Amino acid sequence: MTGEVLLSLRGLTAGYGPIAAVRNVSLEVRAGEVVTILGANGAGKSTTIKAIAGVIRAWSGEVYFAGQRINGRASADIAKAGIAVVPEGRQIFSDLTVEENLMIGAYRIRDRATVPRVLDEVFDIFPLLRERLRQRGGTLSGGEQQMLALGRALMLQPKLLLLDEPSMGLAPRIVEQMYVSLQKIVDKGMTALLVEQSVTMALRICTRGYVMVNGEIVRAGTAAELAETDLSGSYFAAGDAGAAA
Amino acid sequence: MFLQVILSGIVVGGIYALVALGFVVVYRSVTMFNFAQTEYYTLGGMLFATFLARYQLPLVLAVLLTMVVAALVGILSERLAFRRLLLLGARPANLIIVSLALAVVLRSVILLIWGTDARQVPTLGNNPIEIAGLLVTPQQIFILGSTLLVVALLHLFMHRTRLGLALRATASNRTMAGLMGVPLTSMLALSFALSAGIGALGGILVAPILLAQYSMGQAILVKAFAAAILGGLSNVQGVIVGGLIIGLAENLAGAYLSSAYKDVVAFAVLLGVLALRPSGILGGRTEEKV
Amino acid sequence: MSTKALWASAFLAAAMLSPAAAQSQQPPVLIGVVGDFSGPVAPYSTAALQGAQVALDELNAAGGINGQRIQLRPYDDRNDPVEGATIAKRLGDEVLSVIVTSGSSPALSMGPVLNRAGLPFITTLSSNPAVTESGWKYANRLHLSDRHQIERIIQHALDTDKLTKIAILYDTSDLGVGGRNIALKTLEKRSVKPLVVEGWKQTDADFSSQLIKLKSAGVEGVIIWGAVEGAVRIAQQMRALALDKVQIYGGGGLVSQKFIDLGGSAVEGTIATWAYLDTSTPIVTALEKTFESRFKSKLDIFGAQGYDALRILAQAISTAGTKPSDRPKILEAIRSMKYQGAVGEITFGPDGENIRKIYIARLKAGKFSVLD
Ligand SMILES: Nc1ncnc2c1ncn2[C@@H]1O[C@H](COP(=O)(O)OP(=O)(O)O)[C@@H](O)[C@H]1O
Ligand SMILES: [Mg+2]
Repeated sequence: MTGEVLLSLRGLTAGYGPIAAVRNVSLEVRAGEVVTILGANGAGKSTTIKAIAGVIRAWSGEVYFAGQRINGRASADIAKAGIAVVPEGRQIFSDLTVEENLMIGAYRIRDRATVPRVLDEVFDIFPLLRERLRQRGGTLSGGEQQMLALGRALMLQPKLLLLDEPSMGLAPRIVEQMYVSLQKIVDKGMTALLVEQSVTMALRICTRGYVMVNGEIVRAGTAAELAETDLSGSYFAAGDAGAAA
Repeated sequence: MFLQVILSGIVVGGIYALVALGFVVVYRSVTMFNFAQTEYYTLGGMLFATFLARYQLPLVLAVLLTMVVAALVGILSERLAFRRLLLLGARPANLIIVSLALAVVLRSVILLIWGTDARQVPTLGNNPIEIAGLLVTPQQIFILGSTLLVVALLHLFMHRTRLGLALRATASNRTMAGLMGVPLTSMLALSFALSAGIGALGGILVAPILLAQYSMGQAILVKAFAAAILGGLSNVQGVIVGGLIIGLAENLAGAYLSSAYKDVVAFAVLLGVLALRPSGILGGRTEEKV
Repeated sequence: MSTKALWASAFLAAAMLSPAAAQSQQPPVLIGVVGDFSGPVAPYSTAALQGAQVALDELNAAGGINGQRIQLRPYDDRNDPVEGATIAKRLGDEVLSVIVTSGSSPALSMGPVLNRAGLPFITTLSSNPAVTESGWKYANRLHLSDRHQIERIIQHALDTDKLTKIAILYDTSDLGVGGRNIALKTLEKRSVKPLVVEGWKQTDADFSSQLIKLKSAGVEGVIIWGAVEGAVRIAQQMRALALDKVQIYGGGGLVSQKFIDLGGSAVEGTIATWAYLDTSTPIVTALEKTFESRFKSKLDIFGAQGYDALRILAQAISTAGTKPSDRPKILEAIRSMKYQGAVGEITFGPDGENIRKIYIARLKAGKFSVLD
């Protein structure tokens, strides 16, 4: 059911200033998989994503993507290699229109003739974006912004999607819709690494997952294995989106 | 007389706006003030004088060549003076000091090449035409026309091209633009090339009426700076308005009070506007929506 | 510029090494020549020093001062007023009398020091009225002062050109403001009220607000007192406002190749005072020949003034004496002589100002020529 290894972290350590936020993290994502990293607030999930995407530098360890070592490269080059990020907090270009936000995703597409087709594929998944084309990104609601962030990432036609807490700050009903769309994307064969605090949602969509505590991977397993473990008690802070859902 | 004063205020204001536009292009993408900006303006004047008067190049070629050379100098300044600092996320104070140092270096190089002597640059025409009682010279029309053209082209570039979009995205959220595949280093180089090219055009336009001289940049620095601040620093339309306000204020003061008050009134207007609208004339717009 | 500086230093070295002193039994009469020999006004100072050198050789060949040889001692102030004052402090002990070939700012910093030391001195470059109007008893000027130039140009505008609607534009430097004050006083004495009086900063580039005032006041003539660049910008921008019929009047600073080159057709017709060197007199013809074959550069007014300055000092010293205690008598001799030199017939007024004819020049077809 899974293909070759697409992404692999080997002993990744990274952090801020003198403090290592993730230590010696090793994990793998194979083509066609949806892999989740679960963990409490502050566990180091976002740091892991940022280190993969080249936003921060790894202190030690390696990141391989599609057989090539990518740590140390600029984030623009990593994007070009085929990794797209839906970052924590969505990070919409708020003074750009919805259309411009999407077109930025198409920045690296060489063959400009294919851009409308890629755009159409995005609209198929998020029809609402089509209606909002001229609106400025900053004026969208939270849920709409999350759709835009996802759509923008898809414009890169990536081989791998990195999703950092797509459910954060959204109403449960919206989170539901989000995951329906995400499922559609995954069904088309997209590989993804999904970071979540919302365990329920994440386990519903993923094939495998890791649990991160204080910057280290403490457990790995299939979705079913992880679902059987009691994750809520010690690892997660009260009131997280997963518990609420 | 009143209309004549207004006209000259608009022409001068247009030049201020053009130089201020260079400030803004860089400020938008890296949130730093490049005080070497007015040296690109000087460079524009000096190069243009050399190409036109010394090498007898045709006008259009001289203009283009000047802008290209200035743009290259802009790219070089970004690469040598700023890139490391910008990528490391240096503090604004450090960037300001580096840009001041760069200004000194550029001025010294200009002095070394051209010396202190002023240079004469042939005008497109200095004999006025009378339009409805107003005296306008072809050179003034050229200045206004070029300023408008550049603003329009810049607007088109920013809003209609892939590179312009990438530049705006970088200005809006640098990290995210990188994640979308926009190479930051190219965007930095592009911003500096654009700002230096635009600054040089300012020099090209004024050299025929004001003479090209190594000190011309220092003379315009404060006014262009004021125009940029007045315009809200990140807004193209705002900068045009800012430049015009400074140009008009000083010309009206010069004509109706005394030329001794020209600078004072221009800065009083700046201070007054900032007291009422701290983010500049059109700068408030973005903030209000957030 | 740099070749000129090179020339100047080579020349300095040669002058210092002059063996004249050693050959003579009696100690030489020492004359200091202070000037800018390596800075911005080096060409003018150097020309004056060279002129003095020609006079020196002539004088020594004719037996010096009552058998005593004369020796020149150059001092380089690099046009720096601080350096000038420092040099001036030493001069009382080192030389009998001084020729100051510096620009105005070192000349003004030296003036009080030389005066306190009781050293008679002649300046050959500064036009600042303060040289002779600061109460320095020992100061003498062998050049045109701004006061005389302005009085002369105003006289020309009012009496010869018969203009009454006059404007004054000045730059806000010492030179410009000083000029404005003199012009205002001069006009007041003639009961003419200037229609526009406006200043400009040397960094100013746009003169439209000043010039629009000229236009609406219907000015016929404008006196421009300031740096050449400013005057050129004004002339060019006057044209843009169809003010090209307004007559431009200026000072000797405008009578330069720089003004002509920068201004082009916009400055045609400019009328200015001119420190003119009449090359048709036998004394100048002879001087020109020696000077140009020796220094390979053209004799100008400053070279001629340097030449005359040394001859005047030598003549005064020969009647007064060569001891430091003779200095008051040397000054007296300068003030009472009537001297026929390269720049014409010269006498000095009680204030030390030289009294001579000031020429008026007009720029026509890219060349200044004497109008009056
Ligand atoms: N920019 C930053 N500077 C300093 N420390 C940070 C920064 N971002 C995160 N951290 C710290 O790193 C640790 C891991 O954070 P993060 O990776 O954001 O956790 P998570 O995404 O799992 O909530 C936390 O202790 C957090 O405080
Ligand atoms: Mg996080």
